[in-house]
Amino acid sequence: MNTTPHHVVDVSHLSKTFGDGKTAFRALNDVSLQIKQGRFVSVVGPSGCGKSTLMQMISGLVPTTQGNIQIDGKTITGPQPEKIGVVFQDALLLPWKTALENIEFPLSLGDTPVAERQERARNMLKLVGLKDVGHRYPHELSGGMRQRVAIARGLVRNPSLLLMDEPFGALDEQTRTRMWGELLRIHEQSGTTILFITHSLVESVFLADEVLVMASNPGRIIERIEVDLPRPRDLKLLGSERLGNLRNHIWDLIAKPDDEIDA
Amino acid sequence: MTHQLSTQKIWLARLWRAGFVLGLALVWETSGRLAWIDPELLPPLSRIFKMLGRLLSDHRFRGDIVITVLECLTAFLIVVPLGLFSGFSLAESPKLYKLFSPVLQLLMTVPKSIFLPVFILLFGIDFSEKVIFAIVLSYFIIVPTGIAAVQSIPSGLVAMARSFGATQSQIYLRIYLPCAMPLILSGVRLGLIFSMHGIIFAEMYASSEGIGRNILNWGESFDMERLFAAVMLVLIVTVLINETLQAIETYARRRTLSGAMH
Repeated sequence: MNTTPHHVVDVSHLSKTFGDGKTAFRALNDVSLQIKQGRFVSVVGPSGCGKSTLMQMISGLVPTTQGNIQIDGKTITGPQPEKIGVVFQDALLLPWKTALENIEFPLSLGDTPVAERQERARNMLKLVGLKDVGHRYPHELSGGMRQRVAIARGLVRNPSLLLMDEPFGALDEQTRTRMWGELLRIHEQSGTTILFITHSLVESVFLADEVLVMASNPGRIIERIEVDLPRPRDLKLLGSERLGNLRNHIWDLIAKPDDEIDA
Repeated sequence: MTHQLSTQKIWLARLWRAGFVLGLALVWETSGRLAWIDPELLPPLSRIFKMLGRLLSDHRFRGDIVITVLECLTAFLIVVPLGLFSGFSLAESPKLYKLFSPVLQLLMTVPKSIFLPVFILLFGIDFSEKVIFAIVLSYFIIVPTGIAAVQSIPSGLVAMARSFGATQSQIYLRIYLPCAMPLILSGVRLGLIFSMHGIIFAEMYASSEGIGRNILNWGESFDMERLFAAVMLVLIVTVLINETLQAIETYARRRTLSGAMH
């Protein structure tokens, strides 16, 4: 190993162009980011800034046009199920499987023995605070519970990185706030490195150690903000001045005059 | 609570259907007995069923049943996999879809029965002609079902499985198959019904054997009891098959789509 895997994520000079010729669209331009072990980094930006493209490329679902993505010091070329667990905006649970079976799903694709699968899935269920509902089907769970099952599924292979793509975007505000508390607790207990994509300014600040602010046309990172709020974070911080100031700062970066028409 | 309500509704609908059929049977029976309609033209139901019993014990008619069933099964067993596979391929390959979907749509709208004389000229009037006609008739109904089956698969679930390292065959087996199952079963059901439709129609048009041939003969010779008995037989069998397959389909749908796709 030439470089110690000190950075779980090392993205350098990443670009993505869709289409070619006159219809070519530059979705991402020269994006670089590094994430150290155990850190919680959020990416925030307006819709169309390429943050979802960024996440799809890191998850290996979409090929890169230029640049390089390294996870644990190794360049990736496709999905890395052992290294990356993904949580999507919709929970995307298999409706014909129970919560527990859904968490087992990533392991069932490989050759993990059944007993070990169930054991690990049960542990994950406990971690996300749902140990009593493993036998329920997705439609018997609330939206928040479904998303927690999805988080458990993302963590079940013990990945180096948990990639979360607007995971709470479809939840109502109260459920979302509760999920913030849950996610912070899960992050603390599991110690997993998290890359969290969101369009919510408050969310990006409240959860993360570092916020990457993106702008569109072409999609790029315009600022990195170190969040110096103390950990463990209490929900009361949401009303604090420090959080408010950081939020306002990001808003100033994102809200360009030419956006005013949309507002 | 909502589940109870909906099952209650389902039972009410079933009760209403059973009542309707029973009422119709009653009106039929009495109309024949009281000679509202000439019983020679519309014999009472009881006489039709008595005749059906007699027909079923007649070894010649039983031979016709065997032939029709064999023809239906042959057409069904060929056309369902063929149609579904064509549908899947078209839905999976944008190139194929672009190439064939206009042709397919054109052929779908054409009434296939007008080609029956051509089929007879090409293949004669025996077993294979009827089977081929039934296959052609059913094929254009199953293909769109196959396309719809693939299109009903939520792309999110596929992306999810892929991100967790599922191979293409795992995606087909563990995401596609269960997600598409309700519509695959629809295709199977339609395949069976339209195979029967095609076979009996072809038999009635030109054939020396089979249920359809008998129905036509008895109709032409005003043998109303036998005619209705044979029609009743086909009716009962079709309804039973349809209801059974629909029950399986509903079960599959409930399993795959229970709750929202979250």
